[in-house]
Amino acid sequence: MSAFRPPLLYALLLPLLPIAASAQTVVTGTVRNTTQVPIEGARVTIQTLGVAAETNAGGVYRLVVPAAQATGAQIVRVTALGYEPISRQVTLSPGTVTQDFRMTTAALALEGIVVTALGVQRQERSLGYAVQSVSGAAVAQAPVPNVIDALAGKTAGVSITSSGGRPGAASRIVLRGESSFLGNSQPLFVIDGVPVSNDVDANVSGAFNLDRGQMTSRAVDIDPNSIEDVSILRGAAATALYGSRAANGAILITTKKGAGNTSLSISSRYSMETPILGEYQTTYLAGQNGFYSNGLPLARGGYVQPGYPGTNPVTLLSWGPDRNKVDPAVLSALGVTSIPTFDPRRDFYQTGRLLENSANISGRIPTGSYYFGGTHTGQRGIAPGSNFGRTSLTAKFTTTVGPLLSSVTNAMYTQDGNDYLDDGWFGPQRWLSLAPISYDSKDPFFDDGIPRSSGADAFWLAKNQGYSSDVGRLIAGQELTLSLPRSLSLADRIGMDSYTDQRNFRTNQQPWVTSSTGSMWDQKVVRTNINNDLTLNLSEVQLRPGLTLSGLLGNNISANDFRSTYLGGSGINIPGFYNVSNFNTITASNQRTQQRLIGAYAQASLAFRDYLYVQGSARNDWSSTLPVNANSYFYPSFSVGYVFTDALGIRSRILDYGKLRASWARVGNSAPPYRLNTTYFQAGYTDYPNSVSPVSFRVPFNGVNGYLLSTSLGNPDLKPELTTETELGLELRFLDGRASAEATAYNKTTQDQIFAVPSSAATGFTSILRNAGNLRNRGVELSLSGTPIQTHDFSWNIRGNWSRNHSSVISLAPGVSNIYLAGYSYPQIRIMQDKGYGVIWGFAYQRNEQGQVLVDDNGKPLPSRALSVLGNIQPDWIGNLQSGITYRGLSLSALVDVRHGGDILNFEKWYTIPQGTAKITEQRNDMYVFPGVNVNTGKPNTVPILRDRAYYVAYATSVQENLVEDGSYVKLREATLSWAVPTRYLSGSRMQALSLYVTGHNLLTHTRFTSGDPEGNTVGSDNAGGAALHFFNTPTTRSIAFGLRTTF
Amino acid sequence: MLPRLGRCLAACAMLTAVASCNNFLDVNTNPNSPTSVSEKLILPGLEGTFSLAVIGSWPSTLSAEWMQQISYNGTRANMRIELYEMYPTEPDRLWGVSYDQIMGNARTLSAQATANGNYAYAGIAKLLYAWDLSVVANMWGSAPYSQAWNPSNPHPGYDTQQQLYTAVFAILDSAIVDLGMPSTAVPGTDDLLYGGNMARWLKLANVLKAQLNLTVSSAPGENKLDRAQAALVALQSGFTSNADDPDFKYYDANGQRNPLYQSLVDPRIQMAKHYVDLLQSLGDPRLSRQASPTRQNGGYVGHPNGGGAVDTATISSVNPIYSAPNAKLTWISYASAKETEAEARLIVSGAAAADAAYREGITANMTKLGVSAAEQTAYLASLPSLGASTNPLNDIITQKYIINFMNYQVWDDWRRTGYPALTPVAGALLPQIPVRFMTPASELATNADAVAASGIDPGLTGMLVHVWWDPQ
Repeated sequence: MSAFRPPLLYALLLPLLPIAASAQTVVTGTVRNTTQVPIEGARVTIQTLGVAAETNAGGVYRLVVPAAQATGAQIVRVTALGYEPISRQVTLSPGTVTQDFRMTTAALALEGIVVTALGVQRQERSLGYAVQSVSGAAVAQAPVPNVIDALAGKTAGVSITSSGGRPGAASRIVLRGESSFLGNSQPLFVIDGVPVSNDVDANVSGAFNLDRGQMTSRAVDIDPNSIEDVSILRGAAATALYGSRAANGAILITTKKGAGNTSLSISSRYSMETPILGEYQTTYLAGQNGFYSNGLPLARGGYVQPGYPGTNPVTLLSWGPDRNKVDPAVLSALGVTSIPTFDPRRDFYQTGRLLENSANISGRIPTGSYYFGGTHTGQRGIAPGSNFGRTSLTAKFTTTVGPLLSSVTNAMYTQDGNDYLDDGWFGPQRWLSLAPISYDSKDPFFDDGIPRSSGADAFWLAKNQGYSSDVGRLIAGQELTLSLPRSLSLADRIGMDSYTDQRNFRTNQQPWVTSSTGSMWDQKVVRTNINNDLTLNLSEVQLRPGLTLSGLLGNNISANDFRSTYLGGSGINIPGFYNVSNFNTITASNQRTQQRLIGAYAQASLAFRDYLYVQGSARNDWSSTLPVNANSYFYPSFSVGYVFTDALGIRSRILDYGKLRASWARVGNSAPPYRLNTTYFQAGYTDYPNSVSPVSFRVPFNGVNGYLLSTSLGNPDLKPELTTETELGLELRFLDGRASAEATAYNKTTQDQIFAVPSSAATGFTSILRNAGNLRNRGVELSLSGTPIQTHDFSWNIRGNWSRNHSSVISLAPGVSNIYLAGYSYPQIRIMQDKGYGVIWGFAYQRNEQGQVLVDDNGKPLPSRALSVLGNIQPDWIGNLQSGITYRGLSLSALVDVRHGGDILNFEKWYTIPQGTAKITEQRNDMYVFPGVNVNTGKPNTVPILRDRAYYVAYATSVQENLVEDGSYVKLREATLSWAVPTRYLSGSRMQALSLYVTGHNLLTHTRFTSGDPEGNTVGSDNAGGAALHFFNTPTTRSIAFGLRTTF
Repeated sequence: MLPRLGRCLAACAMLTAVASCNNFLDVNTNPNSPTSVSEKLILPGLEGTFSLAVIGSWPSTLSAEWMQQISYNGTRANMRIELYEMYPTEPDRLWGVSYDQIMGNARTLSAQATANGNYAYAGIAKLLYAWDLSVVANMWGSAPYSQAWNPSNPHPGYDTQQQLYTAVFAILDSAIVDLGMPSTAVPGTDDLLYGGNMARWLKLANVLKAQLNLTVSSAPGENKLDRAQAALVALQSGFTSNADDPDFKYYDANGQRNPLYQSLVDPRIQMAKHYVDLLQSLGDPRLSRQASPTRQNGGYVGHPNGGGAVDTATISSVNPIYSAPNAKLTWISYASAKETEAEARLIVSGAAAADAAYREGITANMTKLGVSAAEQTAYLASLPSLGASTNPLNDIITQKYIINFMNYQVWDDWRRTGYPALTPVAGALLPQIPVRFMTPASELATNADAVAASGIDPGLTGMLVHVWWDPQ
């Protein structure tokens, strides 16, 4: 890295130091909690005078009131994260006045303090935009190891889709809709001020995701037990200071820190999970045309019923006889009284288990605080051979050095190990979905390794094909704050996120498949992000009575480095031995990308009498990925918060707080690296001249290397893309804060998107990188919460969120009518100029103008020959409702999560229906009058047709509207029963607290979706299209966990 | 307010910062892919991609299935091509690789080589450019040329097939000039086809020119006699024996295997009944070199095109001479050129004058396939002389059909001559054998106006639209 010195800011800031005041009154004191522990970071204000200060590590605050105002009685108010606000009247007189405070823990975070961009804690009332936070306890209690899954159903405007039940699977999180045509619309993750990677780091083996599923996203490395608070910044105004990287919102994670006396906390939980399986027919045995086949190879006890087409009993077709109506001749030939049946899915999957132990010790020392935590999570997946293990160590120290300098050091080291199987076409779920009910999986193989039936492939895959990923990751940050005179402070925070992912894939030679050769690859991914923020902060300087100014000036430097090396082998010699020396062909490749950014930003906030807040921010970025002479871009934001109840004096018992807020913001986003030039690629071409086998040419060819010019044209004139968002909100609180409501509406457009616009190949390029297109997201978010009953012993609280978002295409690139998101040639999920975002596109039935299906004279419905819209993946709305009751130490809570609308392309039905395992094929061999009208007469169809295999083949493969299903669901996402053991039982021990709980996740799912959980998907993290494509992924799971938490 | 020194320091600091920033941000040079490469590094990829994509993949598959040389012995879903059905995106492959890889890179290579005085490279590049453009023209009729390869016009308009052919001959003539010029750098092992033997490249260019002259000879407005004479002139500088054949060598390693092997890994792609029956009716000894005996009973049996799935052991597969991993792929053969000569002589001088070339073509092909001298003699004796034939053109084209087994030129010859006579597959989606490739879906998605302006039916039925040189 070249030397960069950041003195730019010092130079810029010097002229801005405020003018001093002369004689003054100092109000000082200590803020503690009910157990006399000092509270750091509490905000102490005299609202009418507009002076404010924060407590230091010792809980001490110091308010300076200019002499001119230092008279009479004033209200001093204290607020702190997690505590009820408190006020005291103080009479000011020249000199020093002392006033201590004792704060009680907040039952509901009402007029609280929230973490905003750059980790700045601010009063919620002062914000002009929406921020929602989730407590660390709520995240840690969800019995799922991935922090993204743990956030599901807890906030508004956040769409989370789990990609399946594979241990360590990726989950997709999107705030306020899809804002990019082809890029990743996921938010920025920040841990203690350090932007961290949630990248997927696609493998470079060239595997097609629909065939194999995809790698995990790196949010899986975060230990939920170390989290104090998660703050979700959804809008552009909230994230403006983060700039480019947070154009899709930000998830700010604050880790725990020491507070109070030395304490040791230990928690432990054990959970069990089972798959949420789809529906399958349970009536018909293996076979064809109603004739039974026992599935065994002919020479090894294979049997087919006379009449069965052909002689080969090995089959994956479930078109045999009814299990209860098997011809007695068949039973006597086989010497059995009935054909035994099984549930091949359940027989394969096992109960997943997760054991997690976590301990931390924290406390204070005279000059600061410390926190050490460690967690080990071990998970055995539902598929045999799959597992996930995570060991995470977290440390955080706060120190003050003298009266002016304070320091926060945090570090999180995580070691992950993940073994998993393929999803999609090459995974076990495909074989399981197609296995007939007469397939006995107890003993899948003969002694020589030949399978007893095709369904055995699932078991073979579990033992002989799969991936491993071993990650070591360090996230560390160091923040130094120097208090300067005149309410100024200078802070520098440097952070690093670095990980190495060692990946391996191997597949053995299948002894019974002649063309199977076995292959492996090893890939090493190293990603390092370094980030530095230098800020000069001005805290609440009074400009005039009642008018205060706060602000900051900052400089940001970030550097991202990615390296990947890949080593592949194909053509195995010794089966089951996975070293590249054991392979006939070895391929290798490597890759490196670097990306850097410098930003300068400023923010100013004016507060008038604590009811009108106006904030403006501006940021300029210089990006390494844009043209050198045009790499700078500027973007501002404005927001207003107006507490009208205070301003207008309408503080009644019913309505005690009301705020209107409005914001407008613009965020620029730079380009991916290396896209300014058109480069040459190592020559190679793969073609698909038939449906079965690809043909390919690769260099080095007979020892000769070669390059060809890329088919993607770079663009030396790239501009940054621009997101513009307007947001309006209303916040209300009633009945002394017992109930609250919040509503937000937003309109976000992303224009000049940087994307590779598909172009006619006749231009010489299949894509031309351009700034083009305009995508709009509009939506409404509602949050309600309340405590209907609160007595000394009993309380009942309820909280709900509802949001809807609609992504619409204002324009694609000129001359481009559609963009592929996921799927196949057809059916596929795509963006269309005229039909919008997330269209499912394929063949439907032929219909008349009234929408009735046209049926021919034989009663057969007619498939259309033209492609059309089959559905749309965008949900109408999503919502959740949580309610809890607490009686003394006993509490019970439940969380219901709802998604309404949003279609899913269930592509596995393309196979499960023709093969005869799908539930719908239980309706077979009957005469059926297809609802529709005759194509010639226009009269309602009365001609019945036989629903045999041919009918279902046409149903599933010629008419793809039959593959589109409603993805709506209502889920009991979480239910928890917990008991805090009364302290009288603990008196003999050294325990201060002990609580026991049992919690369930995904306990009930109500959906019309037929393949299990509508949430599972195969290529979820890629884009929104992928998240709506279901194709033989590992089923998602329901789980139940038992846990205890104790503090010494 | 600020002291003078302070301001000065601030200004210096800012200057330092700006300079440092520029260094710090200067990391956008791609370390993974080069931005310029020498001619020697472009040529191998160009030749290899051309051989796989243009000679060995789609054009050969379409021709061999539609011309009933091979057949798909499987379920209907995988038999689509044979039933004249196509996914709209399937034509994208050949279209894309032709424009953005082969012709695009051939243009780049030709310009770069000409600037550097490397005429050998320029000549090869132009030859491949002209050849691929002729294939695009033959497949689709109208296609972009005069407005193509200009990214500032993302919607290039279409030229007619006649205009495309004018360009093809001009580029080919320019290639012939370049191939005869002294060259600063001369290809060696980077020339995967001929190993830098420029004399053979020159012969190849002339053989191609002769073939293309006959391809357009029946087009409206063309003088058949002139075209035939032009073909004969070109052939005087063409191949002189099988040794000149452009046999692209493949190797049994990943990405280096013969494309026919790679697609025939699917054991259900087998010999077609029409083809096996034809060779059996002719008593042609080449059957045993082009097909393999059935695994079940030996002997040669073809699968009826469009027929249902039967046991693959009862049907002959393609012979390893064509489909082995390391089988050579002949782009255009000496034997085929002799039949081209026979056809041209038939037009210029009559059937009797064509007989010698006709027989030399058959002999050369049989020799190449390893047919014994005795079998050759017997077979040639069984064939009536062209002078005595009732339909000498049918005889010539039928022999060319056998010589060019699995080569895309079979379909071109059939379209313009109607030989050999074929019956459309029963129960196929279209009532006739296709005479044009479907318009690529990518063109409809990205260049719809130009497609509409060209007046071509973009649907499946567009495959029944005759191209300019194919006046039915």
